[in-house]
Amino acid sequence: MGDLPGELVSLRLLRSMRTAALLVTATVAAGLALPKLLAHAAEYWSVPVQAAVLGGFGVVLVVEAALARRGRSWGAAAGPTAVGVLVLGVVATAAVRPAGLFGPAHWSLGLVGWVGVVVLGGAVVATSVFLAAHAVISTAQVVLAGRADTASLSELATVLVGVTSAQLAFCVAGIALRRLAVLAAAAAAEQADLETADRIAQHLHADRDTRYARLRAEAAPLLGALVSGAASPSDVAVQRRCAVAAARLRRMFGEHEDATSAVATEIGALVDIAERRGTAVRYAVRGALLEPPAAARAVLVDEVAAALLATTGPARVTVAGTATSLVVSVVADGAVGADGVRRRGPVEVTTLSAATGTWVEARWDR
Amino acid sequence: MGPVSATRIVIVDDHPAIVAGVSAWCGAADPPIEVVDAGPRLAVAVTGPGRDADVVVFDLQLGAGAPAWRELQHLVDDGRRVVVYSQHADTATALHCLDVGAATYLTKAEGADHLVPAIHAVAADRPYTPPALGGAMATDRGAGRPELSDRERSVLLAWFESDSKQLVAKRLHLSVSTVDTYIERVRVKYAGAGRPAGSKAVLVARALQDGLLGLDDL
Repeated sequence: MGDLPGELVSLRLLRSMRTAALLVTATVAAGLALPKLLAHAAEYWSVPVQAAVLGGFGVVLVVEAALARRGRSWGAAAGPTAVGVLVLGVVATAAVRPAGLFGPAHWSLGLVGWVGVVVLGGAVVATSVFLAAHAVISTAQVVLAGRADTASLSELATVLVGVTSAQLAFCVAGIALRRLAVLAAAAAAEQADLETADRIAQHLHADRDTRYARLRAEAAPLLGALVSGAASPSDVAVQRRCAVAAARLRRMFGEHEDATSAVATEIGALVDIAERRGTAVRYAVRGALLEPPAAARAVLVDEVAAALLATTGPARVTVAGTATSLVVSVVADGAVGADGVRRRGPVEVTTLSAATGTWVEARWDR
Repeated sequence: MGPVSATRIVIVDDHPAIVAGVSAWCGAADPPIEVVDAGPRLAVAVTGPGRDADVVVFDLQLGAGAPAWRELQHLVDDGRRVVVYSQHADTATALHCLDVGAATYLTKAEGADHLVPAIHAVAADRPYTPPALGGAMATDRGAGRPELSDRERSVLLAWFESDSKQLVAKRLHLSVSTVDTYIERVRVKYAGAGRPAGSKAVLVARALQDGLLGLDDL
């Protein structure tokens, strides 16, 4: 998933590169090759052959333009087409008189490379092989045509290097662009992540601000009363209020990430309500919590609510998540029903009473 | 009858209210617990009268910032018995403290009921597992955790849920001492896992000696 932006950016850049290659080749074909063909007609064995080859290249360019518009590539046809371009190049070179070889009349020497770049999509390895083949074949043709002397060969080498380097540079630019595209996409993804994290953090902060405000509203008057002497620490009711406020503060300070489990959130809300009614609740959550289906969750929360509502004394509420089950439990004094095990849909509820209180445990197994 | 020698503790905590509260609990404890020193920094446990304390009651969160893992490691390496007394209620912190070599881990919420018994047990090199720690062990899914039997896990879970050995015993049809045994066994299994520490080796050796569990249980 994280590679998708990179691919999209890469695609856009590749398309621009395609257009650039096409434009360069078309310009070279129309602006350089065509005038040369017309101007140096005398230096060819056969002008119609030259025109036919140029026309062939033109067809290739038109096909490429059509493919580029539809965003499609040459696919499996790239190889055979490249070979065909090489063959056309051979034909064109063969139709040049020996005197005109690699001179101004020899327009096909440079154009073949550019058409190859267009067909092969700037792929470095394939294009290098193509250009090397073109260079070797052209050299062979020049030698066979009788111009094997050092001066000629060095001139041929200069011309070949001159045209090939531009074409190879184009491919190398493609690599650099692709790498840039990946980096740009990574940076964009990172920025998006940071923005999301920032928004979440702001949301959490606002959330915490409201909770702090509420707690201040509860704890500040109590503390003020204790300080002024209006509330006496030896008073049991005051002690209970202090215990409740302390538990809530402690829970708030101890939170790291806010619970994302729906069950824990709902039971936390129940604990909150019980505490505001004056019940001292010890609430603990342990383990990674599975997400039960909504029906099971409703039953689990309902059992906790029933047990908490039935009591005014201190209560212990726990939520425990194992690999295969989610268990919620309330220990409090308050009659909730007879001892035993009952089944409520996907949830098993166990009730047990002892001197220390009544224990209700609701368990959901995956 | 001569005076019972008090267990001596030093409290490392940056909240004066905590120190006052713990001191009050210790003052009312029987057998007595004497607070020889208290302070917000590790120095109070390694220098002065705190150096000779039997047990260190250690708040993992000393001031703002990261938990005081290095200080805890220092105490454990020094061979001290450390009761971590922390506001952090997450499983990972608790089990990591055990792995480092703390004797036990209490959340501040369970201090009233469990800190004094914990100090007594730890001073005698006996394991003590308060309910929240039991819950952490029962739900532990970290790599490298010890193998717990289904019975051990259900005892721990019941202990976490009820905080009452009587309720656990009644629920699982065991005696209270059997419940204690199961909880102790798991504590020793945790001492036998993870990185080595002198305090953990002591627990394991003692348990093997007492026949609490065998070598192949570890």
